[in-house]
Amino acid sequence: MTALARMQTRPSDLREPAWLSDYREAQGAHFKEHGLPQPRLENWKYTALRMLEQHEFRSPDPVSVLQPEDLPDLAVPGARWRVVFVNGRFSSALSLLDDLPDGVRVDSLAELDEADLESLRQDIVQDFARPDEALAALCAADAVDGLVLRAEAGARAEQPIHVLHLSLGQDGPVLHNQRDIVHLAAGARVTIIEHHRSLGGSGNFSNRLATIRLAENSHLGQLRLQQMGDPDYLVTRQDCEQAAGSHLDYIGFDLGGRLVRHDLNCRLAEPEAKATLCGVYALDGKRHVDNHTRVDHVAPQTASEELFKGVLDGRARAVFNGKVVVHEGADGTDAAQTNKNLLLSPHAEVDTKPELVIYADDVKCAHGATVGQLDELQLFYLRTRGLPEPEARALLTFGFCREVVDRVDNFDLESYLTGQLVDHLPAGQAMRK
Amino acid sequence: MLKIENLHVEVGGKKILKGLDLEVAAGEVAAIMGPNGSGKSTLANVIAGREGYEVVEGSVHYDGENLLELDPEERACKGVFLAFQYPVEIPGVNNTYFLRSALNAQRKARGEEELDSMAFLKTVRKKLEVLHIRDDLLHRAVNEGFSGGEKKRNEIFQMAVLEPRLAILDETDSGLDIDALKIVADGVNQLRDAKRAFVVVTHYQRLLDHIVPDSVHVLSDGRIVKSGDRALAEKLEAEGYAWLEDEAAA
Repeated sequence: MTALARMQTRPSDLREPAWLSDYREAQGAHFKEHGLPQPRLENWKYTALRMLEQHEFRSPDPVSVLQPEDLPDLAVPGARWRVVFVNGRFSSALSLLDDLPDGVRVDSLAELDEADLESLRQDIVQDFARPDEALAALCAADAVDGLVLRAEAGARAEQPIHVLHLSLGQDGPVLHNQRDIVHLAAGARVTIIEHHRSLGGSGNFSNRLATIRLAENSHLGQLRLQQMGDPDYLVTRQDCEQAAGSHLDYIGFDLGGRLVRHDLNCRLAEPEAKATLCGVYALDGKRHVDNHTRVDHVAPQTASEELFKGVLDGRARAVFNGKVVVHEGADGTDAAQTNKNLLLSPHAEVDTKPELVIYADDVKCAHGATVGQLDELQLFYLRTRGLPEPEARALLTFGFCREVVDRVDNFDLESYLTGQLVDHLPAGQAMRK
Repeated sequence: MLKIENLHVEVGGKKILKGLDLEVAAGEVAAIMGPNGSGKSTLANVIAGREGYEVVEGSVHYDGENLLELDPEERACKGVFLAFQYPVEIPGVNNTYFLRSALNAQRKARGEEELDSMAFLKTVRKKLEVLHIRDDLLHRAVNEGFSGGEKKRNEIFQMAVLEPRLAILDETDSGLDIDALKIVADGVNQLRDAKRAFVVVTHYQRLLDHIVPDSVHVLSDGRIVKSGDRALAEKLEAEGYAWLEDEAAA
């Protein structure tokens, strides 16, 4: 058994309802039984976690020492509210939550009273018993805090809420688990910017689990900006349950980290539910980013659209696995999936795999994956107009990602994300003038 | 201004240009005509600096400088422009952003001040107006989804903005209707002055009714086989290229 598998990051003196401690025990047992997912599991075939076993992780301090003046400028333009978590713990001092819109509540999971916790019991007590979900079990067992975002029927946040997850070392790398819950009631409309940053970059391991429930005709915009430090690890999993006419609009920007894995699961349980999953990954060095999506079309007339684009340089590696399951009776399903990759280096690698499982007759499912290089003729064309070669390459690379960036419909955010992306592109500095 | 001597070029091991000589003076419009496969596009691409076109013998000088030693962008910054026969589509790259970056790269290389976006847009709108091109062109990605005519118009628009000193037009007239053809001709005629030169590569005499050339050169099997004035183009239009081959054989 590895050091990680023996670890328990939750304090032993938690004062919690018995159902919750029992649940933690059960999930902890799953993790101890399976350990870290191994590459022989199909879902982890291309993402080896061996390197995690080489570290002695510490448990996070319960209280953040960070004060607002310690923060570098992490504000995102256009976001009015900010919720900050430091190593998985809510920081009231760093958060800006005044004047939230009517009907929108933001809480810290650790600060909920027993009755409130009871109301979320159904979302919390999910069982993660399979070997390939052992990290979710670990998170379920040990996460003591997280974001609880709830919007009442018809509530609307006109501006995005910036959810900032900061990771910092404490005399060495830290393992922190965090459990988030998002509930949007009927017709509610909220956009969050889920922002992952590390201060310093000390080889931390952030393990996160989110449960999202979208009631009928609600809309969740989820922009994820991942800018972890070079040595950091991030594993996220989210399960989104969607009622009739609801829409999850996810756009991920993966620009950092040593090893990053996202599991994005959507269950379209009622008609007209829709999931849009888009992402850009711009990776250099030895970064490894793995996006695993799974969309279950359970009800008829549901739609999913996936568009992931990646640029890889150096020895970077990307994995995309898009699974679409159309259940019996889910007629009228419309599922489209695209993954396109640009390899800028002979040592970069992409493993891309669409997986369609269809049990209904009347469905529209399309998928496509490409891996290519910069087009020499396009490069020549730009250079004949006077653009220096590095700038021409940067422009073409950005142009390749543009399709996803254009999905961001908030002008301030689009400009901000464009800037962040350009900074991470090889030769991107050539475009910054 | 442009002096090509005994130019031999191979593409993929195949000899395309076989000892081409051509001189174009400042202020001159030179038309290059010739049958398919004679090497017209190869000549245009070599002047612009495209990779894969191997110069095995001969020289190309521009203002006395060895052009073949320069990268494509260096040539552009010195005032060389190629209007492509098949303009390249670049999805995701906005036409305005692209053209401003290009113009500023050239201005920077020449030690001139870069234009901010306001000043640039002002210049550009004026050019569009003069050329009768709709300004929705500015908001689209470079050539993406453009019709054949729109692509050619975009080339001429870029030429008008970049104001090159030596412009090579590679069959810019092919596939154009008469209105688009006039836009192309206007673009050239408006830039025409004593300091600039144009090399107009074309298949047909039609374009030369609108851009009146100072000299006409016939390219056949990789060499210039005949040079003359405008009358030569008219003769080619009337009689085709066969008589030249007979003449060469004789």
